[in-house]
Amino acid sequence: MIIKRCSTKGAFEAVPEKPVKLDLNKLKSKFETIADLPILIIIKHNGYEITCFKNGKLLIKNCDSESIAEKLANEIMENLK
Amino acid sequence: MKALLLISGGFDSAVAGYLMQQKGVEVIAMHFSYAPFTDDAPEKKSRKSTEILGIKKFIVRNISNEIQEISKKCKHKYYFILTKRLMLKLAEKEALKEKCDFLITGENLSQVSSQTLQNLHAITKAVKMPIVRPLLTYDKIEILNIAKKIGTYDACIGPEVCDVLGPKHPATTSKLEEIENEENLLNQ
Repeated sequence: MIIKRCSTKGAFEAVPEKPVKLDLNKLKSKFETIADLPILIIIKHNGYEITCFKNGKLLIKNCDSESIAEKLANEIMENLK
Repeated sequence: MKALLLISGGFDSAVAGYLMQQKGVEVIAMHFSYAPFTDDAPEKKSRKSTEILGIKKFIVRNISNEIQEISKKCKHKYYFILTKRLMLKLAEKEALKEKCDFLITGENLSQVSSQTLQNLHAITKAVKMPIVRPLLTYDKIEILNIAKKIGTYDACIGPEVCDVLGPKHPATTSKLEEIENEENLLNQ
């Protein structure tokens, strides 16, 4: 995953290095889901709100640490295996 | 005269409110929160700006359910126009309760896709109450200079999470009839 600040600097985004299609239904079954749309869901994980896009991008809000963002992103991807 | 300012947390709306205060208008403010589709930074910035401007009444309304419905049911390219119309309708209801004479927005001609002349027309037609747009023809640099002068610049600067539901290619032109047809798909 490539971890970087999003364009408006308010969150970290995690982008898969290779194109990937996220199974949002599988994520919904494993995490508390607070918003659910065809193109994205917003889940809660370890107290963070994470927007998961169908195209594989993750947006981690209210997180100041790149290493925590990376850890959260990896944990989410692990749950899709 | 009393007016309700739609305040976003950006530079423009705070300056619009200030300019109307300078004309002797009593201003109250209303912020529309998109959380969890954004973070709480816009609300905090709006609150801070209202404090700086001495605005006594600050109303916050979360519209995440409504924007989810727009995103699910309507043509994506009209998302910004439909959300603006939604906010104006909700603001108008509040303004009537508060006995306001008109609404104020920080809209600025052609600054973003929803602010083309055609789209502004479609947005304006959402409400019966007059909408005053004091920044309509201002240059962005002029707006930022006023924001610095009045002290809202520092309150509005800083990171925030942008609206994740916004389309990559929003409509820059729209027909009112088509927008109203899209709205008829909604339970709002």
